[in-house]
Amino acid sequence: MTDTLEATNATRNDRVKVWDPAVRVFHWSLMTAFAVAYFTADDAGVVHQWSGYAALALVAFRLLWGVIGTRHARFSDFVPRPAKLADYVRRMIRGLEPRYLGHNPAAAIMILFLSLATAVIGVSGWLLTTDWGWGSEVLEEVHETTVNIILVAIALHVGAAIYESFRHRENLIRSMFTGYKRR
Amino acid sequence: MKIRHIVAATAALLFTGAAVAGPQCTEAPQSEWMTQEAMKNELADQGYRIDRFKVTDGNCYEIYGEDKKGVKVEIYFNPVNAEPVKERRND
Repeated sequence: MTDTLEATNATRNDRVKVWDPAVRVFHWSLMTAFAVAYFTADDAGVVHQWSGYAALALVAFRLLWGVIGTRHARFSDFVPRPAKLADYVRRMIRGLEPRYLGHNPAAAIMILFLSLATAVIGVSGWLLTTDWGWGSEVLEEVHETTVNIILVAIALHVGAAIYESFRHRENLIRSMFTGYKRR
Repeated sequence: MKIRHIVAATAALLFTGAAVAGPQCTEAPQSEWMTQEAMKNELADQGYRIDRFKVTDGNCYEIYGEDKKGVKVEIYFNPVNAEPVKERRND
């Protein structure tokens, strides 16, 4: 009993809260909204449209939270200057990139890219429902091509999360659920 | 080494990326289809306004436009008999 308690305390002490609830709920909600929209694409009905609007709202919220949110949620905490990004990527190629408690510089670019792509997909999708954009081939191309691009980005994003988890011996995916990382 | 694998996987994904699949409308050869002009005239008679007309990979005539009530529609037609196969309304 005492042992268990001590072990729990030890675990508590070497982990630190990094992701606030808003960041975590945002992350998994966006993933869900994207998945729902993706698998209802053939229909392009009400569910598809509303999951797209939900994704847009989530990204809008995340932009705001990037300014007013908690420490590691803020863009100022993780968006790198170009020189810092280049340095990180050089180290990463040599397998020597440092560990970050918050988002690393490459992850930061991925976050911005995924947000931007989501916005493009959401806005082009919405325009396709308007009188102005109904049946537009160009909008359809933009909508679908950006989906294909974001799928590649998501694959990289997941691959990188797994790679970094092994590299730094921590479970980053679990962290995005619990909010805690090792110190 | 790892980077090369990632690049290969990325390329594979990009080229197999899904396009939205429409329905299959007929197996009949194109020689049995109505002409596009006949199809368009038929729809105009029914009061449709056609914004876009296309022949799909699933052997359909597909239109985007408005029905006579002004509701935005996307309809897939069988090109042999002009029967609607799938319809999406945006009201």
